Amino acid sequence: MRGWTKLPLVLLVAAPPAGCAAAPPFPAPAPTRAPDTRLEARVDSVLALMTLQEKAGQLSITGGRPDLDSLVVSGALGGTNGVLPGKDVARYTQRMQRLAMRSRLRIPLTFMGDVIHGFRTTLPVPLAMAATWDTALVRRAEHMSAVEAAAAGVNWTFAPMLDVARDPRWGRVVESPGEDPFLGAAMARAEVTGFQGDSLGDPTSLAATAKHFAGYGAVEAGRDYNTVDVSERRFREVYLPTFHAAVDTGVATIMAAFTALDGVPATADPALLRGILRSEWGFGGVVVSDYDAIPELIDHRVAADTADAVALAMNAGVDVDLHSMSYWRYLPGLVREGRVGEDRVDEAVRRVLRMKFRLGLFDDPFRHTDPAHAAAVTLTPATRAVAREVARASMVLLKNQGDVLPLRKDVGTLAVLGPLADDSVEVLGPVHAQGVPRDTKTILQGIRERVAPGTRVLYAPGAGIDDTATAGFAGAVRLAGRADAAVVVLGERGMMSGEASSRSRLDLPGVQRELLAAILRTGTPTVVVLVNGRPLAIPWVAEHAPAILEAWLPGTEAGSAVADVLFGDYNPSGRLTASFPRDVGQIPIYYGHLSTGRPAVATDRYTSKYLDVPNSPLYPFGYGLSYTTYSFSNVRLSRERIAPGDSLTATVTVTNTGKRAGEEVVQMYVRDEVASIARPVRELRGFRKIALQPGESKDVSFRITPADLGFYGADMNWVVEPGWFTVFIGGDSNAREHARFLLGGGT
Amino acid sequence: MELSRTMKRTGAAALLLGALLPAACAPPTGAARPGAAPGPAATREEQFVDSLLSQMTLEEKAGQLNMSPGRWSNTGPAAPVGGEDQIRRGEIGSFLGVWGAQVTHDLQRIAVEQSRLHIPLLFSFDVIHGYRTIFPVPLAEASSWDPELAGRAARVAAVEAAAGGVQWTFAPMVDIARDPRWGRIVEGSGEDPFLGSALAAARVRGFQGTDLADSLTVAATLKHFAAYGAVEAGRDYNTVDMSERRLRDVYLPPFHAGVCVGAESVMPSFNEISGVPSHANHHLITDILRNEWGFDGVVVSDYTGIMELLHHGIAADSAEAARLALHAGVDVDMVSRIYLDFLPELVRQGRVPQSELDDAVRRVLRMKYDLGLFQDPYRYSSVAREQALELTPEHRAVARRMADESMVLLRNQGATLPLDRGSVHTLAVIGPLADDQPSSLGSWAGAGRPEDAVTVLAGLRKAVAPGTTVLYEKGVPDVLSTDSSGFAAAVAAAQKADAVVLVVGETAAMTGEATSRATIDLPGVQLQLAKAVIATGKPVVTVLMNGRPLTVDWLAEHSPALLESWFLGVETGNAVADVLFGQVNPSGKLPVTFPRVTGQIPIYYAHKNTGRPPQADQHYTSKYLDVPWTPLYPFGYGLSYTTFSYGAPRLSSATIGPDDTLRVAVDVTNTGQRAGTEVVQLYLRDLVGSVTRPVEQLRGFQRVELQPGQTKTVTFSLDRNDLAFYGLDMKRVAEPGWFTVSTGGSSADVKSVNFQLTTPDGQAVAVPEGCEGRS
Repeated sequence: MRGWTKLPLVLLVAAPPAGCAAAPPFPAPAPTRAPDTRLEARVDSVLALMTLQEKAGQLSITGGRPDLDSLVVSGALGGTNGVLPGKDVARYTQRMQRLAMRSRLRIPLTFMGDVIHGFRTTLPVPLAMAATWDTALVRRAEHMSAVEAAAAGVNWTFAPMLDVARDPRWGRVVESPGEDPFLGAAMARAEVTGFQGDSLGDPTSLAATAKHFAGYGAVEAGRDYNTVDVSERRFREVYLPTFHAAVDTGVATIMAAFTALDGVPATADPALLRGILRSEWGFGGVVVSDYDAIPELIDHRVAADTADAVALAMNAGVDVDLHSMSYWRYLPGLVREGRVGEDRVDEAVRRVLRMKFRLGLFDDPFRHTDPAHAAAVTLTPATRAVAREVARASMVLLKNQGDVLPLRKDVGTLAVLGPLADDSVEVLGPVHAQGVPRDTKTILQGIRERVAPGTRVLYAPGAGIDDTATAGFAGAVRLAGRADAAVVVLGERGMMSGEASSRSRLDLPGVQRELLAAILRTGTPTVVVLVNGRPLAIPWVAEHAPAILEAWLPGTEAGSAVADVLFGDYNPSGRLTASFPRDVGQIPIYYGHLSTGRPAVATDRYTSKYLDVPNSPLYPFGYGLSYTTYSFSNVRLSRERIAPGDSLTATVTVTNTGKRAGEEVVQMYVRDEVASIARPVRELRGFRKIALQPGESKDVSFRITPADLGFYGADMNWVVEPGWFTVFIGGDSNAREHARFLLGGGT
Repeated sequence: MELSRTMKRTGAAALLLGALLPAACAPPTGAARPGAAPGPAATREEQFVDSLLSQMTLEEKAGQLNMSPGRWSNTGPAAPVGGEDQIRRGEIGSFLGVWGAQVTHDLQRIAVEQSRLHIPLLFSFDVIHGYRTIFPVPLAEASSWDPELAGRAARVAAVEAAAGGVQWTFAPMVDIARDPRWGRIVEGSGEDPFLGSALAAARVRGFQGTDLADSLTVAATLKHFAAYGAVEAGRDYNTVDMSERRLRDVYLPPFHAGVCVGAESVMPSFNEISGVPSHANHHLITDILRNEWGFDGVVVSDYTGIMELLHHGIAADSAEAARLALHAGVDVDMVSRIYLDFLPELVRQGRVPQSELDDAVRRVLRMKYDLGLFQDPYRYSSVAREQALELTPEHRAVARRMADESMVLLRNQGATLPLDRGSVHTLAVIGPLADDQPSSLGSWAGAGRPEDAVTVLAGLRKAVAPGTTVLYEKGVPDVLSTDSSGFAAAVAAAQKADAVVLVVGETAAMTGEATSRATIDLPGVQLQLAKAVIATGKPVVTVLMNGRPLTVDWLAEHSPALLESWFLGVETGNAVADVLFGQVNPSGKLPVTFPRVTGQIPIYYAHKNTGRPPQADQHYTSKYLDVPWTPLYPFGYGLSYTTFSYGAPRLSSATIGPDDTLRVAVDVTNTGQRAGTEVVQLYLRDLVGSVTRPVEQLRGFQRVELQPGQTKTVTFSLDRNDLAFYGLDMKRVAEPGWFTVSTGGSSADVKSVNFQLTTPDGQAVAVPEGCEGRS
């Protein structure tokens, strides 16, 4: 009961709390795994055979080098990475595993790669998948990726990426679930379950990796790999919950972040890796470094040389060295010198072996894979259907003035314009594994297939994505002028987001805005489809384009999914998971901010504002329109007063007030009105995606437990303080319908 | 005399004792400084204060902690309506924003003659960069890298303020700021804790002098404690979140430096850090400020800072806000009136310990005692003295010299500058700020008056050779306007001229408190105006007036000359003319990095190396796709009309022990044709640390004047204090290993040499935070 009996009465007037027992935010049921004595015996039996050098080999993963074969045969590797791009992965993994079977101890290899958003069938980027707010769908999607990848012999993916990100300059925001830890934690559970299934032993399962542990999303100035500095409270409340959720869901591995937080690189941070991750959370899986991150401790200037870096990383709790082969080279010597304990090495090797046993690799190093099977389950109509379903559910309708959308299929003449309209490459996004452009259905193709037989579809790119030439404007404008409606597909290259792809500007690159302006001048009803991997600052587009659909980087089924939405075969239901700023200068901007001592008041100059830009985002977290409308009413609570430790239920009535069936994401936010530590103005604590027929009403209920109400108090213990709480329920983070309850009596 | 009569009338022995004794012996200023042993004077002060305290009711105690806002009346600053009665009732301990010898004298008389205990009032005012003689804004003064002169500027401000009845200023603002969106960056010393500490100490000394009881000194306030400069998104009053290591390594040092030289008061910041508002931050105010650093002065809230605990959502009501603030260590309630209304009852209820209230009152009374107010409450309020000391020629001369040193020459293609006075027969002065008196003063201009300011236009008119025609066109109606109808006239004037001075930037009102900007370019259509004027091909000198780094990449590439003048105060035009015509060779260096685009923020020189430091040919390193990782102008940058060359730094030893002092010598030569002053800068890098360390950190600087061809050897000393940082376990340590010493004329232009720190046991040595080794 979280130590409630110790609560002194003075708490009722919001005094600092005395120590309440620690409990994590958003706890999920911890996996109760009884020690598997048979497994442990098998692990020990292998470990007993290993030389120190072979142990170091089990802790090493590399790839893409000419001596890879001989490394495998000599037992220098526990697994290989870089198995994905441009390779026949099924043949590659088979061949490498056969080489491993020629090593002295014939310990099978793991094969890992970045299966981030699909393997061959490319799914929308993770930021888009989160925008579905549909955890069941995301789980199915990741399972589909796992089936394809596992069929090719891959058994370990470096996903999900769980970095909460509040800076859209950072390119890797595209891989993240967005700005919110609660939604991110839900996505973490869905993705881990999707990749890993019920059991790693299932040959369609992949070992998942929760990355990047932790705080990478807070890189300064949004510049990739840059310094991170946040307080421990913010770290625990904002950046850790997604990882905690993944651990609670049984994620097999964790990847340490490239970044240094508070001066300590994650790769050399025992407080993080051994303290929080293992001791506090009870994580028993494998901790893997990021690519070359161990020698990068030298660049961080906390290690004088590679041996130093290896000792730091190993002693901090990094089990596996990704890419650098420094463990292989230096660990045995460090053990002999006494700078690293052999028990520490054994512990790490045990974790790796345990995972290999769980993956079934010792039973069948090939996990029942063969190229024919791989071909049969890869890029099938079924996988394409999943990709299409996720893609259309991820799209966010940002604006629809005068119901420009949905378009009629018999529109007459439709101009499809813009540099990304017929693109098959960029829509796959960054890190698209085995995805290849020839599989892509472009947006133009999707539209052409969908229109009525008599409808003419005209196409011109108008301009390139990031070039400055305007020569193509005239052609595009001419087509727009002749058309009954125009679809203009604008945005970023796939590689403008992702790793090492930070942007200091968040506008449309090149002359795309000018192109749009020229098209809009024709007066033709125009729909802007945005293809991009981060929130953009597009106030001009938001003001001038009649309709805007955020399609993200939708993957293989881009064209089908966009056509589904444009023509109303699917009623858009995606909701933003990251705030869209009006201007780069507003960054960081996020809904769960603190009130401050001078919250903005329009009429009071001396409040927290800018001179030149409103405080509000262009589009808030949770935002997204539909072709129908919804109303929220009658927020009521099962109890208006609860005792410490009690739960309650909040219910809202949601009505489809429009003329079409649709899905709404019902969102519940909670605010702790007064606390010993300043609390966010609201925090997401529940969401549900529901379908409603026109005129239909549904009651949606959320359970609110003490875990939803607590925070890290003055002494960094998890506390729930008595007092008033407000519950807001609605369709985005500005939800206005609310009710209040009192925890702990008092007045 | 007034006081003596009053005292005889009341017969208050303790008061008499206190009033007379300081007159008989040296006033005990500085008696309670950190580390100073309490002497007899201190004891006497304590006895006096205790005795007075023992006579006070709870309401009178709360009154001493209550700072009342002034108001503006027809005749000038005045007490609020009903304020006189409040004074009589003992409900006001101090006033904010009431200044002027006469009004302070009149109000003081009420307190001394008509309140029960006759305790004199304190008069406080935001004397930020001058009182009547307005100096360059603090960020500009920091560009001089001349703490001694900045100290003299503060001294002048103190003399004028004290003569105007003010005893207490809410300056210096010592917030490190690395976000130019934040409007208050103008009030600070920029991004660097070392430079910031030097200026903090110099300004405290300047305001307070060597003797607080001197009637021409004022009590200084270090503000805003702490980390206000790190408000998220650069939005004023916004949330701050950082590690304690960064707080201590970057944001606290200027405060500690100010405490070490005896700052009388400290003001908590509006922001919260990690969810704890500073006005309720016991760890910050009591643990660090008072207990670790030994600060025993007054902690005064910021304006309504205590009331704002309600907005922060950590106090349910005003009484709770009062309890939290007092417990945290906030002594004086500025304007909220919450202490006055709630503290007596809270003490009666037992919710606030009497001792907390008494301690706060004691500190306020001690400050009044130290200021000599119990000796003569009217000593600051002489009308004759006020008139004699305001805006004197001597004060203007200091302001001009300060302004001369504050400008930073950013670009000078083809030696466009200095202008040759003899050959400029027609000079065009263009721009919306060229003749703007209020903006010349800068934000928070104290008792300054726009009509005192010499604008750039006025200064140039005075400075040109006889017979030179000065043409003036605003070009745009004001900085924010998008009206370009004046461009043609501006271009025409430029075409007629032999040289053009283009004055663009921000108005003073766009800087300071509550003036954050999301975009920090030239507002309005000024850039287009500049393009049109520069397109004439004339020698164009762009003079920037602004209170923050601006993104002026176009001007940096195209304006033949670019001079950062900030806001220079009453002597703006004279000082600008000094530099433009070469009477003064510019010597200022940037105390803050200029970004190329807003999206690079925060950008600062003392960043960490990261695990993937940027390399042009390596994609997977820390960069942007669309802009270089380097700033437009780096910290420490600034040109001169001459050139300087540096030798490599030489060390007294390649290896030092923990108790050794390392001497660094560097030869600097004036390789140009003019005499000039160079700010020689020394940076240090700890090559390997237990926690990541900045790529360089300023650890020394000197202004050196050099004649053409002259070489001087500049020496610096480094000891373990310069090497220390907060290590893994948050203990301040110097760690053995290699360090790089770099010297040069900017943070991006240095020559380096390495040395090694060795310790007897190979372990880190503790370097406790102390006042030794501080500026």
